[in-house]
Amino acid sequence: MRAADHALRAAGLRLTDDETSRLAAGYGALRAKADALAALDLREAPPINPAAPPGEGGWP
Amino acid sequence: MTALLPLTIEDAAAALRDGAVTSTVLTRAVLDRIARLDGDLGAYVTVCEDAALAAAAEADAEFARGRDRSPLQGIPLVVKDLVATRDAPTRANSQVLEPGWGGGVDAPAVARLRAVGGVLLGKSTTNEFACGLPDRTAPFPFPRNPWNPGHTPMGSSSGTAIATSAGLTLGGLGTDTGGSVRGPAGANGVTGLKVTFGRVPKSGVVPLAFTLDTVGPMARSAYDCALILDVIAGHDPGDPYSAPVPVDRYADAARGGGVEALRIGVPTRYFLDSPLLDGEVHAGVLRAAHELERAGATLVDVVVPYAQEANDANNITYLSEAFAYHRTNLVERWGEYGRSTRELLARAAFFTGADYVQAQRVRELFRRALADVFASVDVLLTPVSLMPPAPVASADLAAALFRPGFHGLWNAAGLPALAAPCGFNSAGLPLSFQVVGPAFGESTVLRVADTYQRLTDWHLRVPPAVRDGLACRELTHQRVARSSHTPREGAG
Repeated sequence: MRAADHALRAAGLRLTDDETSRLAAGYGALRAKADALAALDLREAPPINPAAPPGEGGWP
Repeated sequence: MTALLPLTIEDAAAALRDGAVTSTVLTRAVLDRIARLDGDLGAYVTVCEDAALAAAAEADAEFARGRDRSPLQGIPLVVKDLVATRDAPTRANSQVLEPGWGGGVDAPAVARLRAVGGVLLGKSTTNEFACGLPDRTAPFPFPRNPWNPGHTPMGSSSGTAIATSAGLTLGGLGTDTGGSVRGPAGANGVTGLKVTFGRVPKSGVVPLAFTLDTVGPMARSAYDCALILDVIAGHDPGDPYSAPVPVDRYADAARGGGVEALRIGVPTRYFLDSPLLDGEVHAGVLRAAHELERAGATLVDVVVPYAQEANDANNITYLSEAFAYHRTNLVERWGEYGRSTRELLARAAFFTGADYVQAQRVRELFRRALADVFASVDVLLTPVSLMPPAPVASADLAAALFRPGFHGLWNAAGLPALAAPCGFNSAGLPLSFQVVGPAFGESTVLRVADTYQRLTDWHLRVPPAVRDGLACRELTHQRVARSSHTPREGAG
């Protein structure tokens, strides 16, 4: 609850306690999703560049 | 003209050319259906009756002069209310979006439809900014699934899907960032194509996520979608995300050659083996796959690496990009957003900048992995959704962030993906399958779906509550008789 509230306030959002509670209920699961991606060792891998034309790394 | 409205663009185009109907008569008939039925269905935000009838009269005049610009000439179509048009406001189902957004100018995709004689009926309902849930307290129509109004039509291109299903248009435009064409197409029993990122210009469209948003066709059939794509596809120098890649002749390609030489990957892992996948959806998708196998395709069990990771990367990307777009308004005008919209967007605050960058690395990893997959198969065939459309009361946007998903991973990779009907469940709700192709592989995707639809008639089924006045089964039998394939009634 505290981490979720901190993140929302840091973003400038001022929610009611009820709203914060509802969002905080999913905080751990969302962070787990992001942390699972972070666990993939892709530090040297390029990110996608969706604005690049075909053949320059932007397109599958 | 017959007393019955044609169901498909293909049949309406033929009727316009053989003199069985005029665009004016066709457009009036559709407008009459909108007036009679849309109060219950909520598919339209704005109906441009005078402009539509004027466009229809112009199309008829051109036919009379011998000018035939496109199969879409004189065809009634609708545009999702996220896409700018010159004759109606663009509101994105929002009380926050600036009045006059879009500047009264047609988005390129809309301008292209008008330029070939398309008759634009108006703007169709969307979810707020393409991401919230329908809100009964908002001053916008509440969209209802014509197959069962107690079940969600899904979103966010709900209006175009409902209108097509109920005969309130012959097709139109939707947008897809994480499934917003394919979800409602599947839920309402019509066909919808999410195009390759950049295939269709997306300028003039209220952004959700700038690296994922696409504009795509929705209609009853894959062939009709191809007819629309033939018009809207292609580079626009004014759109930095528009791809300078030559376009195909999609309608010709859809009918060109069947599936005899095609290898269709049917991934079990993550897709068909998901414990959350509804049994009737699973069975319907497998029946569709085997129908295509009987038509000559080779089915291959393939693995799609990083599917869950790619779907999660899509969620992180779209929420983060949408939050960047909306943050100032969320801070200053929180209460003017619908509850489901603001609470979904606010969840992006739980992600960091590093999470966003890592999501882009995962997208590239997935893109490269898919290049290997498409070296061994021509297309993939998967379910569209885990389950048939849920009861309205149980719709939960946030829950979808935690479940396996079959939409967003293809947006993450920028690939074309089409949803097509493949039957009904025991409660009478539509079932649907998805065909996914490599980048700019729309022609092959459409060919697979068109082949399936020439063997079956699920895409021509009409919800019982709105059947009156539509050609329905009579037309179905004509179409099947014209097919070069043996009809398999009720297959799929």
